[in-house]
Amino acid sequence: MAGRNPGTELELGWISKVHVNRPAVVRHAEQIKKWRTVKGNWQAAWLLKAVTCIDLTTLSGDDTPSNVHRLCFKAKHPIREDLLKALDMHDKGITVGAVCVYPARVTDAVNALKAAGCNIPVASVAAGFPSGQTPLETKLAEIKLAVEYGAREIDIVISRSLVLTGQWEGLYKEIRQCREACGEAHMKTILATGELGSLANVYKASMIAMMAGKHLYSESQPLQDSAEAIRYTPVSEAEPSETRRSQQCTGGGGQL
Amino acid sequence: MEEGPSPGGAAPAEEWLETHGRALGHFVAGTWLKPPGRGTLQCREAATGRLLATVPRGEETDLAAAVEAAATAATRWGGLGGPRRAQHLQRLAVVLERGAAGVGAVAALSGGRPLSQTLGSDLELGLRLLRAPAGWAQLGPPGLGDWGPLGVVAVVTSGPCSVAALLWKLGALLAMGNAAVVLSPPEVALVPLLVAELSGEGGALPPGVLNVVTGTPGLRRALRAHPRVAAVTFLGLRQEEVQDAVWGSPWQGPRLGVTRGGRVVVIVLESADLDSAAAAIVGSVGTPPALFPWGGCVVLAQEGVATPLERRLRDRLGGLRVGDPLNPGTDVGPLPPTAAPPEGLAQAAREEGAEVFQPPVTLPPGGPFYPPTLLTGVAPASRCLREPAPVLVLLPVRSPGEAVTVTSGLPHVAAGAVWAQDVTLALDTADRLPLGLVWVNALDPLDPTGGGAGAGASLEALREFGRPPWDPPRDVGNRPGTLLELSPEPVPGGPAAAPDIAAAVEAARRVALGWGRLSGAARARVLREAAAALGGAGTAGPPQKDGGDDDDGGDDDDGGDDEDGRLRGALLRWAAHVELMGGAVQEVPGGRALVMRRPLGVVGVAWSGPRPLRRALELLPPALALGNGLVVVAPPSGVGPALRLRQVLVAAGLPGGALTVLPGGAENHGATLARHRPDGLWLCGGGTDPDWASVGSVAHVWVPGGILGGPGQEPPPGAEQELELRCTRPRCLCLPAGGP
Repeated sequence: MAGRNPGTELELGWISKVHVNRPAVVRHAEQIKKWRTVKGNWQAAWLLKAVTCIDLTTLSGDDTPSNVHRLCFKAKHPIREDLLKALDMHDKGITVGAVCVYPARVTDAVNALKAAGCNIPVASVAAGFPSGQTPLETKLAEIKLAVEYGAREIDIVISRSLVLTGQWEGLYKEIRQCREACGEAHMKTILATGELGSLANVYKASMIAMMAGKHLYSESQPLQDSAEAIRYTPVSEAEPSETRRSQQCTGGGGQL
Repeated sequence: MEEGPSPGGAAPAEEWLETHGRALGHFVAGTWLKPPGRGTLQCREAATGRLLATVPRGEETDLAAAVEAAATAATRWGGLGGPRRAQHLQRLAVVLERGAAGVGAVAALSGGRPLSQTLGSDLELGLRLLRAPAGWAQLGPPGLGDWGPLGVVAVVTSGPCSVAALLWKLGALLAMGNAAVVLSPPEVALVPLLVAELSGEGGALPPGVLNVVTGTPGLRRALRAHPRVAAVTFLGLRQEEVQDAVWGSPWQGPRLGVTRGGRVVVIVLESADLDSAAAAIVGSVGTPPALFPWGGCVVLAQEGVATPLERRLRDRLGGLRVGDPLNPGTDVGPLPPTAAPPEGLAQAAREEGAEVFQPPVTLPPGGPFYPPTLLTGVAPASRCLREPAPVLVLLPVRSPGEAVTVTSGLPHVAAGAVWAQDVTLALDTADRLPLGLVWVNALDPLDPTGGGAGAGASLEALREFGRPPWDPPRDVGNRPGTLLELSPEPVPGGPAAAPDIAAAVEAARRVALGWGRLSGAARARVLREAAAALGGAGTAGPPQKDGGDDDDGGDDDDGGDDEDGRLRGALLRWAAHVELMGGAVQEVPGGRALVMRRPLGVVGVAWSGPRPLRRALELLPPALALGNGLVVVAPPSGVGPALRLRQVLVAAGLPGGALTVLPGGAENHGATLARHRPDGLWLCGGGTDPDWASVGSVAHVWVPGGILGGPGQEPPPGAEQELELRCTRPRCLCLPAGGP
């Protein structure tokens, strides 16, 4: 795993001259989708790699210890045994990357995974997930409690209202404080790009998040249906370039 | 982790070649023609030089057989009528789509373009360019209803010829009712042969309508001996080869069309999305546009963003994958078979002090591969900017205005793109560029129709292969290239000397830009005042019937009044036209295109000659109304009326240099005018016309012929539309819309 991103001071100059042309980004994303394909064994290999990067998640109102337990079992055995044997990968320890639950279910997940005897980290969403419309004090308290319960990764969600009203200093301070509240746990920042309004806002929000010291990169569109997940690709198009840039600037940075 | 190979790209092509035993023939009259005892030429794979197949070395007899077959088929094909031909063409498109895997693989094998292009955008573009003229043939193209076919059209492919370019020309000429004879050298022969074979399937095209003859480039000389070939189109010809390739004259010989290639100029301003611009620019370097394959790309970046843009370009160039074009993952294939590697250019650039960046990609061993190259630190006078080559050149500029100036000074520019999020600035800069096709915030596979076989451009293509009703069919026995010698008559004051013409063209060029930029209403006002002045001057007598022929040199006695009346009418009509004229907005896949007409610039009218066109004076109002500057070399009988017209126009407000009238005697000044490189050249002198070799450098050469109608007659229907098109050039501004 990559090292921790220490973050930097807030540099508003990095985001002041940002322009993103959405049609061009969409076209470029489509080109990539069409012509970079993998086939055969290579396809199988990449799919397995993708499985190891998954955060297996359940974030529903009706989560109980029993379905969390089932999720943790699936986390340890994501692919059927006979399929893995056929690919000759059954002894490589293919598991998912993490298990992600609400803070109230963290204890159940930790216990289930301990009972199964595997070392998969438990990630907890926090900071008023999914809407982020809670006071900062409760957000920080939530993070601290989740860490106490045993979460090793915290997925915070940013306040979209700060992005939409252009309060970049406020966003920076908030993410910085969340990061301190995480302590030893890794922090992922969910940008909720579906609600940010424009690709330029996505770019700026992610730059601020990187400056504030997020460790792992994550963006998602909670509350959007799967059809809109296709838009994921154009958003990720806007990302790698400035991830490279931020790596140049902070000398470290998360893994992509 | 690696991405691994993607198998199976070349299989359809190899199968096709195997079924013919790797020895193909000509395709004439719907069957393979393999004349015995011919030498063979080799078709080689572009990337590795491996022998793919052999084709016969065509000779004059083969060409004669093909022309014969085409001529026979053309009479039937032309007589089918538009809707039936449209059905055939749509069937051809369906057959090509079904055989797309094979066509794409053959194009990638023989031409070296990556498979991702030939199967993807190239073929899509080609099919669109085939279906659009078919659509017009179904409906009956507006304004071209009376136009007839030319007969047999020869398509000479000489350079890298993509599927899209071939289908562009074939679609238009077949839709108008002509039959085609395609002449190819072995490097580019496989694609036309496959297309021809597919066209025979399912009755897509009747036999003989599409014929393919292979041979060395020298075979095209044999076309000169065939008077039945009414038009010739050259695909993939380099600028320097044009002079040698052409023959005949605009008046008598076959109609010649040369697709001029060139580079793309990309202007990146301060408010641009640099990442997207860099991605698009590098995308175009890796896969050159389908219809202008010679090019390369010149990037003019505003100084504030030049360095960040250069950094991004270098990053992305490093990510290009150079390799076997049949691998769908390859971005850059080998150089096309007839292109030279630009190593000399890179060396010259180094010596001039420029920086040459070539990312450390591993080239496949052997084969004509060249790494993608970025040249920086050059000046507008550097060699790499004067000659088009498949490299990327970056030049910082200080302002959008400077970018426009530099672009205007670059030779061989085919199209342009402007990147800026500031919409007003982007549109204004795009407007000022003197190019026919400008993209705003995009740089997609370029086609001359601006993103989707727009209606206007396919109509232009149809006009190129059609015969207007006022042009009588050429006499088949008239051998092209024979020039008649007449002794010139002495003219008072002597004929126009060359320095006069030079000065006139210079003055017109200075003035024409401003005159063209005036609003239509301003120009209309000038014309109306001139018409009023003309009306007041002469008395309008009754129009007198002139029973004579219109071949008399300069007999004006049928009524200067009538001529005034006609001139006044023309001035008023064109004043109204230009006020009401507007562009069109086309919805194209991915956005919309603004299609506008812009003035040609400076038009030279070579009116003097042994048989000057009678009513050529009436050509002047449309040209001036649509914003051109004119240099008219008039015959002795025409100088007086022309000068009088000029007087009233200048008094009404026309800038002095916009219309110059020079006395020209009875000899032809077309060649002299052409030497000074006007933007358009109209040959109204008749008889001894300059040949294509001397006027070929001018982009728009036109012989008006009977467009104005006989003496005392109204112009034929459709003439005004034709005049409007002849006085202007198309201008397409492409505005991509938001994504899905």
